[in-house]
Amino acid sequence: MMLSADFVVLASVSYVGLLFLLAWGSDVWSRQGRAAFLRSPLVYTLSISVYCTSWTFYGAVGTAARNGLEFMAIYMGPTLVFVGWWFVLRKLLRIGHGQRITSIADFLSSRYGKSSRIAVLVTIIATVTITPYIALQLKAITASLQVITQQTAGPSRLSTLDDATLALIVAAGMAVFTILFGTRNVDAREQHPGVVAAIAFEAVIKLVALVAVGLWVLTGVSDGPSDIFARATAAGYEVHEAAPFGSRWVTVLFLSAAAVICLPRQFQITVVENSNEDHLRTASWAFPLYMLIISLFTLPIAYQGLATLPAGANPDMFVLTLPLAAGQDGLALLAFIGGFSSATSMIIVASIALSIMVSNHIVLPLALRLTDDLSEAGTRGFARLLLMSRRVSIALILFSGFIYFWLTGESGALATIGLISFAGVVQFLPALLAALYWRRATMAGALSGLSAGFILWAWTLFLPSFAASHPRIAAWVQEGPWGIGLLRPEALFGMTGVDPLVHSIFWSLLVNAGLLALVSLLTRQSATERDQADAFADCFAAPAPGTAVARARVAAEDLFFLAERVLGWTRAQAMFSEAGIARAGARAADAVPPAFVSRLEREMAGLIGAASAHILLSKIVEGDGLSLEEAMQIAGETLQVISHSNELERKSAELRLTARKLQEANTKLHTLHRQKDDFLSQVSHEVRTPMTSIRSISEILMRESDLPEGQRGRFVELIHQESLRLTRLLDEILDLSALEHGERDWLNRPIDGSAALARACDVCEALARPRNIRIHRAAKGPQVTVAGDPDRLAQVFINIIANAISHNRAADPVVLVTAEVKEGAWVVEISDNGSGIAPEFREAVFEKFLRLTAAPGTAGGSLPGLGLGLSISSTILQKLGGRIDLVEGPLPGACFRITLPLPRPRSPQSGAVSIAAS
Amino acid sequence: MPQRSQTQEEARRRDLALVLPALGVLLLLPPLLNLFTRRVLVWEIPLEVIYLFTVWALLIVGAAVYSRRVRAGRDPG
Amino acid sequence: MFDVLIAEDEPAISETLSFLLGRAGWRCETVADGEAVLPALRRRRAGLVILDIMLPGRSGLDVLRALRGDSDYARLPVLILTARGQKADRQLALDLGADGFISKPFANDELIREVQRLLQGFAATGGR
Repeated sequence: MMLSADFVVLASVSYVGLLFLLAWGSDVWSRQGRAAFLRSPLVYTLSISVYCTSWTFYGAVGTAARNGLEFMAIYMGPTLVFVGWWFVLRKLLRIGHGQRITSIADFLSSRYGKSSRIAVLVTIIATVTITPYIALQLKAITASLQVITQQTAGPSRLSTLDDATLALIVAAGMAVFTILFGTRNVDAREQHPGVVAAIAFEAVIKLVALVAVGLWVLTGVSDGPSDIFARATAAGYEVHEAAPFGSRWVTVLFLSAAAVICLPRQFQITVVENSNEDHLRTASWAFPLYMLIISLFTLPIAYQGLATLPAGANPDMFVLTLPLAAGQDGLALLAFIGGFSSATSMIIVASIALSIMVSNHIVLPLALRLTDDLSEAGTRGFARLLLMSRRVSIALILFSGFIYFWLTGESGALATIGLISFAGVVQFLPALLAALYWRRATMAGALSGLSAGFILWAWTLFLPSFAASHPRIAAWVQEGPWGIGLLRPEALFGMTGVDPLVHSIFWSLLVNAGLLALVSLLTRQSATERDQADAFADCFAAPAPGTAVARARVAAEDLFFLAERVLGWTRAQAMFSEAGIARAGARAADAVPPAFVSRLEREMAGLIGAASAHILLSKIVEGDGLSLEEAMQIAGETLQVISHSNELERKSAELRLTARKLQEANTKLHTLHRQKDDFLSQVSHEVRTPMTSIRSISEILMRESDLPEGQRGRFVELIHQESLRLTRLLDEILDLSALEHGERDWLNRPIDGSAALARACDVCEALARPRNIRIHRAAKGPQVTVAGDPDRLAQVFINIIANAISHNRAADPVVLVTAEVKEGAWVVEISDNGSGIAPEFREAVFEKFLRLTAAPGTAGGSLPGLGLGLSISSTILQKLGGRIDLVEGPLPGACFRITLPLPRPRSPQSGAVSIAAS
Repeated sequence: MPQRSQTQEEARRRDLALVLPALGVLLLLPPLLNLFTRRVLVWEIPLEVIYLFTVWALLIVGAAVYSRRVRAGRDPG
Repeated sequence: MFDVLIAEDEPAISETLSFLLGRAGWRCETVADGEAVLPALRRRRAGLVILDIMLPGRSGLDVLRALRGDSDYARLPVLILTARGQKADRQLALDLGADGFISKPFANDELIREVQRLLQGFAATGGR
């Protein structure tokens, strides 16, 4: 069977379709909660194998063929990192989860004071350094396509295309595919279960394809590894290492170890997409195992290719060309798919990771600054914006990958390009390690280290990579820019004779780490930086109590910016000037008091909802960019509020008011009804009591004809007594009613208050004596003139004192009457040492319908009806312009305080005159 | 004194975690590595190849064993 | 040992009751306070308690509960005599274990009859 290029292309497209289905299906299952297997350690490990791109699939063999065992360093570095997972990786994952990190830019920015500058810088560096890597994948795909085209039967449209066009088509196709793949929706935590599933599947395909080719080489065309090596030696190739392992080996080892963490796609897969820290345990041995298996066949394939294929054959393509040459079309197809798969997985994950960084850290903050009004954007607006920006980023990234590919021509092995990328992302390493382990590292240090390292990398590695196709640059590399020898890109400051890669790493990392350390030591951290430094370094400590309190110093300007957009300029301005917060000038750097921030939040909550206000404010305070979910929340709530227009709000408020009023009226009616019932019941009780003895005694008197005279007299007396009592009660009821209806009003005229009091005491003496109760009178002050009626005032006093007397059951009953002038009023206190009034009745004691008697069905000590005396007194006092209160008195029992206003201080009221006590 | 033994436990775990990567680094760096770049062939395969793959495999096995020993406890690193 | 313990705080009423019951041949004692009921019973055994609901100190219903809760007095006849004559009061008293309920004002005959009935019933059961 002869393979045709068109068939291969068709197969590839179908494969892509399959991947897409897989991703889509996984997303759906994941949303339905049915995709538990997607969160298994196995899938996690397989997804990490995105580290093995077409560089691994094709390039490793090329490296092995050209440079011997150097290719192994690229896999042993990551092995060391994963085997030592307890240290760096575990901490990364812990922090990633704890701080909800969404990318490596987010990670570094978060650690260094939630700085957006760092985020932007890291995003830029990432985008630039990954461009060669993407070009590498394009190169692999186009090269493999060229191989297929050349070695297959029949003419094909593809054969007419040159490399560049082919690459452009491939890039465009990959862009479309990636956009469809990874930007259908956005997850707040930037997790893409569908993508992870697809990548894991691709990892399997890669492995199967490479192992298949490897096994075929080892068994199908040779007699095993020994045979291959023997034949290679026989063919004149040196199987031993040409030179001892040296600086280049160490450098590549180090670079690959750093890359497996610092590469944006690796960070995305290993940290952001991780669902369970525990998966690291499995990945620690399973991922190195994966790499080991893949690498096992590299050397055999390389030597087989060297030995059997024509001299000028591209060793990078041995994996493909060997089966083709042997007529193994099926295997070749599998190999092609495998290689294609390895390239696409890298492109997908890398461009998604980069687009996340670009949209979150560059586009969204810019957009927020530019929109005039949050509500204008709306929910869909923000989502559209973010998705659009991601799609555009992906397209641009792929396009720049193509540009790099086009500018650097076909020169260079795949591996060389890859190492350039590695050397670029390793610039993140100092800042990252410092983020994990050095509390003292400051944002300024990280910023300067990153910038300097990036510049040096660009100068020493990135620029020279264009040398092959641009003479001007080549000249610079040879002689230095404008002839300055010391600045030669590959021999800075006279360091010659060193491998360019090692040279670049040396200088860039030296300056990077050096500046990081130096500048950090020379600068101070802001409060946020300190908090974050602690949070990062102590991530394994007991869980921090909730979210970090915003102790950071907020820039007043930022706060105002936000307030203005939500509240409008007028209101924001008012709030700020009210609180005396300066937004410009010398005092603008002062810390905004947290109390003001809270007030602002409350104010904003009224407009856009509490959650949104809180998110917005805390994000501003933390200096973070917003993630899509939060932006959508804000916009959504804003829309909600606006849709409930003020009209509606007012109408519903009116309705509520009316309802409440009706409720109150209803309650009052009920209360009155209840009170009426209580009154009737009370009166009934009060009437029945005297009636009982009247009736009973009457019956006795009627029945018993031979009662002793004394007893008879006694009974008659009792009847009389009780009748009087009854009469009094009825009088009181009428009196109270009349008082309330104003039928018995009197004119308030100046009277002698103390005289009224004295009269009342005298009257009560008669009541007190039979009960052996003593009345103590202690009146201070001269004659007191109040406005009122002498009889009514006396009635009040009599009522209270009589109460005190009749309800005093103490062993040595005493009633204390005091009077004094206090603060322009005349205060009379009548206290007794009886049992007092229970706390639960204190409130109600002046109620008209006294409920000192227990309600039906309740127990509890009851006071036999105090009658209406207190309520009558209370009403009278009101008409006199005074008041009566139940207070804590000098004696243990109840104490009633009567307060009457003095009309006008005419004569000095001083001195204490006490009326003789009895 | 459970407190103390827990810290000891943590320290031991940390030490153990250090052994494998440290060993790996040592075995893979030039000084030690170059001991094996003699022109020796084991079954026609260069010694350094055998050595590298063996070390690699041992590291993997070590990691697997270690990971099994470390239950997913929430202990500080 | 006396026949009837009268728990009533209105002096006129308790005086009348004492006379009435005394005339009918029963020995009476009076307490004017809810708290005093149980101590009086412990001092001297009684055959019947006439209990007002509205008592100072401890309400009559409370006393009734206490009596019924005490094994010594669980079966002691209690006659509730109260000015609160509503159905709810009557029902509650009976639910709490009162043996009779008379509202004020009462007819002397009726009271005497009730006391008779309850004392006899008590005696019939052995007077414990």
